[in-house]
Amino acid sequence: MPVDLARISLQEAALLLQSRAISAVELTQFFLDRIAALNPQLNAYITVDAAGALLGARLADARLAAGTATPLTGIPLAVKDLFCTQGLRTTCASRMLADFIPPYESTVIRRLREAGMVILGKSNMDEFAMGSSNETSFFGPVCNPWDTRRIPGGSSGGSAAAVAAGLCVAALGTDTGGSIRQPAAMTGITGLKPTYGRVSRYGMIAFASSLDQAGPMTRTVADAALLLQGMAGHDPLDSTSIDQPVADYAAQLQSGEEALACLRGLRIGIPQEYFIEGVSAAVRQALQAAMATFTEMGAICQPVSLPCTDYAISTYYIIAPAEASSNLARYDGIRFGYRCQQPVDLLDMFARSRSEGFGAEVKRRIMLGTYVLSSGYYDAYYRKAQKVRRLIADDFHAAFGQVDLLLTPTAPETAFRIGEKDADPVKMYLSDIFTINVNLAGLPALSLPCGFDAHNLPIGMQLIARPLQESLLLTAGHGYQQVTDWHKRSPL
Amino acid sequence: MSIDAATVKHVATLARLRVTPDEVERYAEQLSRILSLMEALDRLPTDAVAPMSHAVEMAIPEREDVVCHHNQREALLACAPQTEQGHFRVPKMIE
Repeated sequence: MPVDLARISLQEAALLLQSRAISAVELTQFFLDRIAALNPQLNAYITVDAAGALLGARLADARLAAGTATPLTGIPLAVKDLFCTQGLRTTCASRMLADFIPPYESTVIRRLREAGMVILGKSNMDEFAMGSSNETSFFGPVCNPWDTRRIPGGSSGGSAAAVAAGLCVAALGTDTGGSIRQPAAMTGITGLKPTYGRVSRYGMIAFASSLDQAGPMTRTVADAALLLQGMAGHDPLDSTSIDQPVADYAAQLQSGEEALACLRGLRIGIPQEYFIEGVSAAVRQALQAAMATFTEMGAICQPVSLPCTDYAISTYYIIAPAEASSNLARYDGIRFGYRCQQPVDLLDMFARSRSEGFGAEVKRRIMLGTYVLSSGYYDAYYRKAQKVRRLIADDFHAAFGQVDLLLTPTAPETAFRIGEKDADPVKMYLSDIFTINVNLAGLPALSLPCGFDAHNLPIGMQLIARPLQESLLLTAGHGYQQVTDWHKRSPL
Repeated sequence: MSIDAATVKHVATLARLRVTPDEVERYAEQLSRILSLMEALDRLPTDAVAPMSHAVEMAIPEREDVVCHHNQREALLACAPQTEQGHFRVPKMIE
């Protein structure tokens, strides 16, 4: 076969499957073999479901033969281990849920299974999605395929590493403060965080409910469009789900000259507050080159200001832990999850089950969240943060009065070394500095590769749009990928 | 804002977490440093700003009150660490 299946895009795989050049079982087996060979080194998957994947692939082949296939039928997928998969262990990378087999299916997984996707397994992540480096997983850190001494980003680090290393065709991630976009940037792939409410949260294990959102992690922007199509849409089981029609994302992507025409006259804002001292020279240069590319394609890059940018970290690290401490109160050792040995009484059981079941970063955030919500501090911290959250959202609203999209670095630097920042939570939190504002404001944002540094590590840029303008993000990102080849580079 | 050992212990009790003396010290130091980040917010006047709890301004949706989840007792009990005679089992609470 002339094509390299390990680097195949979802779009290309769909064509091969539909033309019957390859069967879904063959494609699935290819990835299962590759996972068996490479996962011991990368640790991208927590659970591999070979039997389930091959069963799904046989069903997909039947649909392909019967002519009832969708563009997603037979595509092998890695699923972040935070989506409940009925009958398949879902750990959230925590000892607390190490043996949890969900009795129900998350909406996203139900939709993608109905579309015929093949689930290869559950990918590694930071414990309860709390982390920026995938080092907090109970199942061990994930290695970056570009340099296995380095982190793949987090929290969706396993999904990112799996896409980058060719251990799946596409993957699912979730993003509360950058957990899709930052690992996408660190591993040279494409990641999209949709508008809050565009994708159902039903069956996603909750971290910070007003910020959590699921999205695609793929090799190309066009692939992200195809996968998002299968995920998005109103769900009555999620009370924050947006009840508005879903655009035909893939149909709006043009190739060649027409892709360029889409970018002509597009106004792209460059927020000055995102080019601060902590941004590495390589990231700065890559972003400048990306601006030049967009300008050559006919877009107009202009400076804008988001004055409250500096307050993002403080605001986020009040709101997210507050919501987390409340969400994680459900882990009591009674109905599901870990229970300590021989508890002497109920309180002992709660305290020991939680202390033994949760890892250090999760406990730190529960403590922080409990503190900011506790009597006497609620107004000073939580309420104050909610007010600043509005100012941050207002900043974006004002900027979008002048421009159509915003362009920023996804992260201030490329992938750091495993162990470099995990002893210092404050240092770690600062790696989310360019992504968390988008969650606070509920906006859609896309990260895509735009260069490499001197160590051959990928650099990502972020495009941000108005609510529900995923199509515009995808159009601009796809246009960029028509004239650049950063996304085609492979670590292995 | 500096957090002392007594506060750490109090918060741990509220959060139903057991902390070792080592952890008390570590949390006091780390939480104090994290909270000093938060002091930046005091520079921003917010008296006239309404708190934002959610990114999407929408009314809470309503739905028909219909039975949709039929008996799932066995499926749910199967997730529990300890059960007995169709119930969740917990340590004795009352002597």
